[in-house]
Amino acid sequence: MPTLLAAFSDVIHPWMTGIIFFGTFVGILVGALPGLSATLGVAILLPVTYYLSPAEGLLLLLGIYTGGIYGGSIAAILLNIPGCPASLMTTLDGYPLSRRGEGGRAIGIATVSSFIGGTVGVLALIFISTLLARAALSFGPAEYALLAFFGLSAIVVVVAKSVLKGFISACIGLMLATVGMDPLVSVERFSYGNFDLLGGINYIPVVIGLFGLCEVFTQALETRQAAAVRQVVRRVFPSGDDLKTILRNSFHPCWIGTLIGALPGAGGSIASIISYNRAMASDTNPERFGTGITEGLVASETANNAAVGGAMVPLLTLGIPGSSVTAVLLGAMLMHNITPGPMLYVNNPHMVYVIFIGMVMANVAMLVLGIAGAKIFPRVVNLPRTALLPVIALLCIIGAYAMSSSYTDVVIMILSGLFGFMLKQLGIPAGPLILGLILGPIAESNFRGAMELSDGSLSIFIRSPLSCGILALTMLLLASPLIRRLIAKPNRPAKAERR
Amino acid sequence: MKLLTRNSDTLTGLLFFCLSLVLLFETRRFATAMETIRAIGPQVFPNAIAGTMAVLSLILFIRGLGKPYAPLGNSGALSRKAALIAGLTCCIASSIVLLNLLGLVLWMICFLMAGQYILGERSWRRMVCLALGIAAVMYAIFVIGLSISFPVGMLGF
Amino acid sequence: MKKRALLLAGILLFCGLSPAMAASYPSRSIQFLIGWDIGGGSDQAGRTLCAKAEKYLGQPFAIQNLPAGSGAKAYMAIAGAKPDGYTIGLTTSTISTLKPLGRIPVGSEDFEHVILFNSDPGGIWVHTDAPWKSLGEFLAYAKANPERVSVAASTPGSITRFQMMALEQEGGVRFRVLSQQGGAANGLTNLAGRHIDAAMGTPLEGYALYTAGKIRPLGFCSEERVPMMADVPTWKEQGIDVALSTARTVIAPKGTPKEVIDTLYEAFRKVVTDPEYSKSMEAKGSNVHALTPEETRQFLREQDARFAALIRNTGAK
Repeated sequence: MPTLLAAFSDVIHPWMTGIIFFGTFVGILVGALPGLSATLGVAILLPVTYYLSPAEGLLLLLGIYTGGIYGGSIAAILLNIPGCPASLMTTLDGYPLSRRGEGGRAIGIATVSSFIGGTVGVLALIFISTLLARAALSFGPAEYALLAFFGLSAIVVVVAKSVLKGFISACIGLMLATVGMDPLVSVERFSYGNFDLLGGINYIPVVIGLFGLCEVFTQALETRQAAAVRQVVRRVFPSGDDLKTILRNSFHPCWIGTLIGALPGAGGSIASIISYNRAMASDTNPERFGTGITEGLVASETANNAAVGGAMVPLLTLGIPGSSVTAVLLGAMLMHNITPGPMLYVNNPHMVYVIFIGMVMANVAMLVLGIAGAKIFPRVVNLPRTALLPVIALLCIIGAYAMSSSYTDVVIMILSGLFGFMLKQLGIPAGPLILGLILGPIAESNFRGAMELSDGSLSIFIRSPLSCGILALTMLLLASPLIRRLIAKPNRPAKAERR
Repeated sequence: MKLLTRNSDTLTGLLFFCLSLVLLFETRRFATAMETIRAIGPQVFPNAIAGTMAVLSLILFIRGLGKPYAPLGNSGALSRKAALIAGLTCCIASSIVLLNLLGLVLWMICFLMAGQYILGERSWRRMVCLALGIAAVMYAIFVIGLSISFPVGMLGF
Repeated sequence: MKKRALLLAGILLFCGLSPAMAASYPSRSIQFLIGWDIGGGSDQAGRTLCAKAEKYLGQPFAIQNLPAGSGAKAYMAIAGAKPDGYTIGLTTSTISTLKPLGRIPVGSEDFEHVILFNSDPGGIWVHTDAPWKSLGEFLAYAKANPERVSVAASTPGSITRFQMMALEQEGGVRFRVLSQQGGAANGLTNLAGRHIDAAMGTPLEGYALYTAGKIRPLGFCSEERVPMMADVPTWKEQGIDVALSTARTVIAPKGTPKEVIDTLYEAFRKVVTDPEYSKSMEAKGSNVHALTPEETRQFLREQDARFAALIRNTGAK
């Protein structure tokens, strides 16, 4: 108890709080700019932490991590570009809201949802981390492969008006994921001797092109007469009704986000898709999802911030970095002689408490900065179209170039933009493509690894209760549109016909 | 031709069917001889995905044949739209060459001016203000704030 | 007459200036190329080194990530850069493997070497409850069960893959290899979850799981024991003559003047010999070195030979 109080007073100290707020601010900025991610923020500020005390350095980076995931949703809502893959689902409901002029309200809802999800994630980290860690370890290659397929099926069912087109989109994404060096054997696939392609197609330029540049093209074609909807920013903090909806719909996203975030390598994107899908499945009017409703936004944002707390579980308890950001955090911790693992809790409980309280404080900082900024951010989008579109295009180019200083990425971004524009005309959704690109490597290398382990026997996929469970859920998921159609047919034949 | 571009479904189905055939052909390049059910080769996944895509796009095409005729738009509007997109794309693609030549700051200013002009802005005052202002903000955030390296142009910045 | 006088004056001026130019190195920011993704282990090592060296050099570093081909793009960029000391970069063991694998036309002999500052030993880990108490027992079991013992290593071309192949070659065994993307973390996680028999990984990567009582190391393939886990024997001690670590060095384009190299070496050496820095690196299980340019060149020559032989003997591609 005295250690807890000591840690508490350390964090509440103005200097420490200032560092946390600064880190969160940098995180939000970096997350909101397309092409940059929290990984960049933490990697660049890592050497700076050398001059700070271990607690200060770590909390600075944790602030960036927390802010980064949230910042991604701002770009998703205002520009339709997910700032990080976890914000992909936020574009579905966030962007329609901002197109209707309710960008401020959308950001307010996203901020509060992120706060709730993030705080619950930290609470899970504090109280049930050993349980979560044990659950995370029981995921082997077979389970990871099945989870990846589950995530893909989820987005196809959620996003696509036509499941057929959704699956074609997913196939394109999976195909793009195979470009580069084969993960198991030394064979080049589809890279034709190009160094940049050898490492595979990076998802960042594809996301920027597919969502951002494509949107630039689409809006450029809108006739000048179409009145640009101005953002109405009257009250940013969610109204009573909105708050009630948020609180009512946060429960499931919280535990889904925390659980899936605790799986190394899975993270926020799978968490937010499964959460969104669950919200849609349990809703009486699932067609509303994707048109700009609060429930959809809450489902996505709560889950991806809960995943932050979840991702810290394997890092703190087992020293396993689940993502590139946590890998940098691990490096920072080790640099400051903080060795994660169960010994940390025994040898250095003060540091552990500082991390816990600091993360809660980072969430508070995110809430404060987000609500404060929510009045300003949407105004940026109020620029006239002739000014806004070139700026977005500029952001797209710089974003595609920044991470790896490669013009190949810029070319990929441009091609994705044109391709995305074509897909839009043909009615093919872009979400499954991105997810195929992100989940493809996980699905393929784990599937092939599992087969290698099981001597070629497919039984490895039904050997553990966990894999059976995921398999059953996937099949249920894929069958759900059919089931829904069968149920709807006697009552509303016209609706079935429209498909 | 009319049959094939009957509506968006047939067009999509046809396009992606052809694409999947090309991909299936390309996978031969890296197909390895060594392949058992245990050691799944590098060509299995691409083949499976391309094959699935072929089947799905075929189904889509056939389904589209049963749907009403709904072409994507008349040729006049289409060509004007295509011109605008082509213009924007050229502007963006030229960054690949110009960024190295002009350096970040100059290129940003030129790009923003050109972009606004293509989209119809004609007030020079507004164009210059926006270009200079945004270029300054971007420089401050990316180069000074985040110290990300960008190409340095002929003039040295 | 005038022309000749002008020419003479020019030459004299130039001679007068060039030591002055060399003495004023560095006079602007130095570009440091890192051929790996931002945030990765090598990136972190490089960034930390640069950040601390800035105050000794008096000029900032402009770090650029060129993550393509496990360093290939960065090496090619450095090879083609002007040898004026304003473009340098980081290498890992891939400087010795990419040329024999036929991916790039340059190898370590095509660069000037500044310093070898860091090395991470590799090792093999098993589950805490595994029946093998030593590397010898493990290899004996593997020999009796060819291609049945599953070992996780990273993707082909990576150092853990080479370490595993060297172990297979020296031990006369064949493993069932599970390829893991994203470094050794996934493999060690799978090991902790009992999905596989063994996994390759550095002391740093496995340390937390080790203290959690989930896995334990059978040995590390370094020349000496790792200070972080001093009770773990090396492979050499257990009869396997393999010592392959990820050695990180700094290189410059061929033809960079000796004064420039020495200035850089001095600055980096000061960073590395700082007791705080070396202590924090050793706490991570990394070894800290300060090999001079000559020693670095010698080391890399030996490393080249070792890897070339390994690639030839195992037919790796």
